[in-house]
Amino acid sequence: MSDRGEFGLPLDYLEWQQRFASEFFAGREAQPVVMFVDRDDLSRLSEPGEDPLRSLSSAVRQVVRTDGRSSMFPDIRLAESMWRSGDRSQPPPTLPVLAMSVLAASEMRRDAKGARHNYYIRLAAALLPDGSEAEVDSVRHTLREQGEFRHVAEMWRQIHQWLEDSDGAFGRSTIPESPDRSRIGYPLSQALIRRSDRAALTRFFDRLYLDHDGTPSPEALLELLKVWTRHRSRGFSDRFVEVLDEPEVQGYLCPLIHDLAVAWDGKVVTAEGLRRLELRLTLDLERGRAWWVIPSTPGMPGDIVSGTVGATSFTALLTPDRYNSMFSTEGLPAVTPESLSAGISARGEHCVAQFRPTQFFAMTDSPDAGGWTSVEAIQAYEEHVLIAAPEVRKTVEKAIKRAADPGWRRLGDRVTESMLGRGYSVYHSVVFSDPEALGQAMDTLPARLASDVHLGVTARPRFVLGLPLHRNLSPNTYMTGGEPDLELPVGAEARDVEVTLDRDRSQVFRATIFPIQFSRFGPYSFGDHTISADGEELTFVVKESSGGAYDPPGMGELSWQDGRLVPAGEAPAVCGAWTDEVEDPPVVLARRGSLESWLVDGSGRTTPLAEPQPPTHLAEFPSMYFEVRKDSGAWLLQKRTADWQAVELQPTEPAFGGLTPTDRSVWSEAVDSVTSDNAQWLSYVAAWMDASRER
Amino acid sequence: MSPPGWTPRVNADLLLAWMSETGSGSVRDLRQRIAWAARAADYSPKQHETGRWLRDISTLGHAEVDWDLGRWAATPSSAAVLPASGGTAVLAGSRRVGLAERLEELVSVNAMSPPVSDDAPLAMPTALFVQADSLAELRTSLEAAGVRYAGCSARSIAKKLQPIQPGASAAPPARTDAVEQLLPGSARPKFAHGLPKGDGLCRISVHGRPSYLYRWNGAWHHTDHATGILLDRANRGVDVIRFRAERTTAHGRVGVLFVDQGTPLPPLQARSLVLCSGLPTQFGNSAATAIYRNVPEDIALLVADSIHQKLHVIT
Repeated sequence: MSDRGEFGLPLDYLEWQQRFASEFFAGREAQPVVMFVDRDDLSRLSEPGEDPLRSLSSAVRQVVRTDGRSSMFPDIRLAESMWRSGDRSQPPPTLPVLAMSVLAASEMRRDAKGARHNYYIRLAAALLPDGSEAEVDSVRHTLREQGEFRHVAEMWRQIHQWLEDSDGAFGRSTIPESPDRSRIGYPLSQALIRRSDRAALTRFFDRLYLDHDGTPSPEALLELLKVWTRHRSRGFSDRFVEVLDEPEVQGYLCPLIHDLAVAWDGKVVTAEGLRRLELRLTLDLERGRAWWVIPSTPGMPGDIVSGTVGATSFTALLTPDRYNSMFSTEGLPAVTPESLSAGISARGEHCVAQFRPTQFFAMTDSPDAGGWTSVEAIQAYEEHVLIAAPEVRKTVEKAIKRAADPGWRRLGDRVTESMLGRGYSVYHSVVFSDPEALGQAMDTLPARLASDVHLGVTARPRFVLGLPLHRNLSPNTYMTGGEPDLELPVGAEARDVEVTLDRDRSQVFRATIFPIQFSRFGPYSFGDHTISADGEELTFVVKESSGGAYDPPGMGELSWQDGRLVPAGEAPAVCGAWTDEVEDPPVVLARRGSLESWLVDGSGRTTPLAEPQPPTHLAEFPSMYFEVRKDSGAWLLQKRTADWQAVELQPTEPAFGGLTPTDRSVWSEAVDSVTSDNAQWLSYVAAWMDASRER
Repeated sequence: MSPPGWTPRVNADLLLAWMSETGSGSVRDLRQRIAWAARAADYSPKQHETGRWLRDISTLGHAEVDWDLGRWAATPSSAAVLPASGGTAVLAGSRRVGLAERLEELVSVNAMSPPVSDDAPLAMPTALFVQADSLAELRTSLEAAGVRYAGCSARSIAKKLQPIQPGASAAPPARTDAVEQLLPGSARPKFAHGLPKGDGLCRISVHGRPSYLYRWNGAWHHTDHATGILLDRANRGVDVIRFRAERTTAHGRVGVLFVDQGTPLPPLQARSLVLCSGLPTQFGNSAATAIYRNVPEDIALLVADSIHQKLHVIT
């Protein structure tokens, strides 16, 4: 027998205890803990040369009796009891036993022999990997028929309680408090999501825009995940995709995935916990150049990654660029037909950058990449460049002809070959704005090609476009008339979704990449409105404006100076129609339609003034005034139907003299008619009185 | 002024109100929303049409657009007095919700839907013209409504125009660049592959976008599309701008300015001209010209000088 250690447990057992403690709880503070274990995990946790399963089962058998006696777990229960009476600053010493119970749950689908419901035979076989059939069946009988498994269930309850009592210091429990169906629900709940599935979930969460839109309800989340994975593995294990549709595990799966979504840290990772980066193909169609770019992700430091393309190795340096959404890269391989058809994977200390080979690529214009860059999915109304591998060229071109708006072109073979090698086809100016045509074209694609053509990027219903207000303050407030569109997640096969507006108007829509324009269904009253779809209820608020007290940010921040557009802060010379030297026209406005108009100078002499033609560009409006230059005299006198009007032009001291009979007639009528206390006018009246007396 | 049976292909007033309520943003985002608004009016715009709409909005002074940095910013509300138009001013810049109603309480407000053309099928915002009994009253009323009185912007902007000139020195196009040259002989500017033999304008692609280089006295300079073409036209002695007088006013002759299509004016030159009428540039489909109305001859001369053109007066 091995030496003994803490709680009187064998050292071999404690070694596995330590391995699992580190595996499950290290660095998991406040994170959901899933105690998943399968044979791959055991191999990873074992020493080189160690037989993982036999090593673990041997260690466990030192504390669990498998000799056919009715009581299997007294030793480990005693150890757990000792642990309970201590400070419980470390996990309970039952981890290898619990891991063994999860291992058995994870193996329930590995062969036909282990029927889904016969969990206990799998657990017995795991405990006795070299046991005879009779020995295995004896242990199974003890576990199930004699109810010994209840002690394992109690260990699950204990570790759940310990996690709860530790207040998240070791992570948050995802163990159900009381499984719906049976005691095996405890290990089963932990066997549903393996590491690779957990990693694939981060990509799903990324497409849920959790930061912006919040976390859907557990039930809605599961439904959305089903749409996301329908006929596309998206990196999930087959078993995971399978159990999504199994009603008996959904009670465990729903809260588990929800917990993981709530706790997600915004990082898309690989199964090893490395950040998952995408290598994207980028093309400059004008210059005939192709290269790789890697979009950076928040919080991701630089890295040195290494990989191979065919027989050639490469090492590349990735450096974050604070002014660009792409990493600055050095050393990435050239784009070759081989790299396109076989894909690239480069691994570093912090990340894995991958390019997944496909027969078909969609690209959109990316200023940060400096060209057209491959994207995950085709988007409605966006201009795309599409690339088809030689073997699907004819099919793709036929589909584009059928589905794309007129105006698309195929790039010349010479330029295409200089970028991608022989055989590829590049189509540019491709826009899809006809839902029906795109649907028909998709229906005609062969299955393999169709699986490479992804439509839409969202994994949940969400609002897009519209005319949002207060975007930095409130995520879903829109201007009246600018209500948002609803984008639905698009699965690999056609599906109809019932969409309900304000809980009382329902309509079924086909889920496509073409968003539903809800502004067409208005007018909407100001205030809250809801849209329900795919089990989610989204709310948007309609407002007339952003509010009088709100200063729209950036208003006037661009202006002209010395013929250059400059940012805010510099003294503007021109901003819109405003200039820093306001030029007030040196004119006064005179009414049109007078019987007579006369300009008068300081000597009192008059000159008839003809009304100019009205402006032609404003012919729709009444032209009430015309302009008279201020320097054209001292006064404008206008005879109207009922009276005379005197309009001052520019201040001039009166010095009457040399008046003609016409001047006298004008003055005589005007002075009798005009009523004004304007001092300048009164001085002219006095001058006229003097002049008339002198006559 | 729009063709019979024509329906607006975008709710431009709604878009301008939204830009005014939003303040500023990215050009890419705004163009997506212009296209969205057009689709809401059952029109699927082409990529260049959303760019065209935004350029026209900028020319009218509603917003400034930095195409290089991909940013736009609405301009504060202002009113520009139109030359020789009886004291009528046009509203430019921010048009937040309620502004027109406030103005209607203070001054006479007339609205006009600008015409559309085949080249610019997306409607522009309603042009709002304001009038009062005197310019002093207009100024006071505008300021009471929170609108800056800008005087005769057309003339003050025209006086500030800088003569166009080649930009900073540039390296010649690289051997690997796909170079196009502006063909010297064609009536309407047209690019074709190859380097110009002497001085002239070249178009190359930088990061997938067109970039322009101008060779002047054998040395290469950076330039932009409008400036490059106008420099080329001026150096080759090609007239692109013509004036036809329509009426005589207290300040001289006022008429229509025609600019050959394909020779776009730089932003401030274009703004000075559209603020003569308050209406966006119109296009003559048959004569292939850009048309600016109600332009005083002195403003036409200032614009012509700034692009090294002689003002050709037609009768």
